[in-house]
Amino acid sequence: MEQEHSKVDDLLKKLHSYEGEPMANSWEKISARLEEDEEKVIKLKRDRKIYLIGIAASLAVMVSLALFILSNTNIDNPPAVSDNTVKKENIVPEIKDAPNSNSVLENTIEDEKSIETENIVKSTTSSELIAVRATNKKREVKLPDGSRVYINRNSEVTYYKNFAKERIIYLKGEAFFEVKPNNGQSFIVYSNFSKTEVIGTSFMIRSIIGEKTDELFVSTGKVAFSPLNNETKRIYLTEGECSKTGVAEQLQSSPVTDINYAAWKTEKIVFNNTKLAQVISTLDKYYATSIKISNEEILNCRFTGTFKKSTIDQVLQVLAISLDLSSSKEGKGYILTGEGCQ
Amino acid sequence: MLDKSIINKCIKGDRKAQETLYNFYSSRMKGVCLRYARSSFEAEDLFQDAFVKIFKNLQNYKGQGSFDGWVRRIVVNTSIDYYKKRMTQGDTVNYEDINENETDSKVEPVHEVDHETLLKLLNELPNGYRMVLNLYAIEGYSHKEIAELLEVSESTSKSQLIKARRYYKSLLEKNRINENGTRAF
Repeated sequence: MEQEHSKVDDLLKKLHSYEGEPMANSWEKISARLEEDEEKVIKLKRDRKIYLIGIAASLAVMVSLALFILSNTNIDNPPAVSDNTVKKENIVPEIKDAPNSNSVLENTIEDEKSIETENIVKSTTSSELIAVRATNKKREVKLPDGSRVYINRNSEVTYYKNFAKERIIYLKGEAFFEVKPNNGQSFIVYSNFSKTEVIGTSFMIRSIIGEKTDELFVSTGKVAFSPLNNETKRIYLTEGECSKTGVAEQLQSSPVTDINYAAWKTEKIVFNNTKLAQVISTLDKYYATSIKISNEEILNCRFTGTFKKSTIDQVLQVLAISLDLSSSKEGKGYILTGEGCQ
Repeated sequence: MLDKSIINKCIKGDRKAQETLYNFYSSRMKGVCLRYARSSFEAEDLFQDAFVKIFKNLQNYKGQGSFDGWVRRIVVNTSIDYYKKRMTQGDTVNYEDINENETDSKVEPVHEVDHETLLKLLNELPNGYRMVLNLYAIEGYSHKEIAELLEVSESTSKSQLIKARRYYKSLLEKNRINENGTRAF
């Protein structure tokens, strides 16, 4: 029996009374959350769908969920919170496999409408905070100004209903934006580390908890991108460019090299004489799986082909046939075996 | 220790009293969150969530046991709840990769490991390892308590602890080599 009084334990004990510095506006945020609670403006939508997917079993769970969403949206202090009643809607997505995007859109619009009618009772202003969250399935949302957001799994966007005066979005996770021009009014996205400002264009932001940087990919138009803590370091990106920013990084733009950055949205994966290392990393990300290889030579192979709404098995089958490999399941992932290429 | 009247005022929603309580505990509790989190960003999220919970549950504090302990427990539980769900998802480290010979060969952890380094290496641990080391080595929870908190068996808690120590030791060692390496140049 190992009754080791470990040296590691002794060392770590030093951290018992370790102290840290809360962020400068911590108290304001906590205080704001308490206030909202007391005023009972958090109106929870007892949606039948919520029960169906078993996310919320009790009010307690729902409250904590709502708080979780709020905490995740506290990226920046929205300017209009203090003098307005703030409401949060906890919309749990329920998009099933979407055969075409129209039905998704209808679904979303319906959702938004139902919120509106439900809120009229207590609503006094247009600055309610709406949080739209995608858990297992991606979502598509039409914003008040007609712009669209495609939200990847495990991601969420928050915005003021009707956008109040400004078009501001708070993003947690990954989303693709198609922004409608609106008389030159800017459209701003705040995420973990960055602020992205546009007039009318389409772009994608990847801002994942645990990752050290926010990434921006511009599909069309021109985008202003800056670190959250220093807006003067702003740079401008145009079509086909990408950039990232972390805690203390110099901003630079570069051409987009990963053509599949928005594959989760388009449901299309394109390879064009792509090295297998890149192919595998794209597939790993897209299918949330892990593909291994039996020997390094396989990474030398290159592959060209396009997959649209394919399953991972189909993709691997094609890959295996074209490169004379064989693929099989291994644990939760897959393994490719074969001689590979020179 | 805080005055009982402050706690009562907090329960009634007195914002000034709440701020006093917050200021009293904030840096210590931020320290706790930093140990459980993977990054300072996540730590801040946990920290704010925990404080909202503290204020919302104050009326449940019955005066049994120290108030300090009660506050800390909420912070710890908030952190645990967050990572419990992510214990397997985020753990991409292959535990078998740790070379037994390397780590069992009487590695004496260097004496001058500063707090920042200890914390940084702790943050690098896979979620499960980080939780168990925090709870057992730092917080002083028993395996029985840890098992309940993390919803695992006691033997899992024990074996996780052993693996976690070993892993942490290897990180310390790696860190020591790196530091010596840079000094040599």
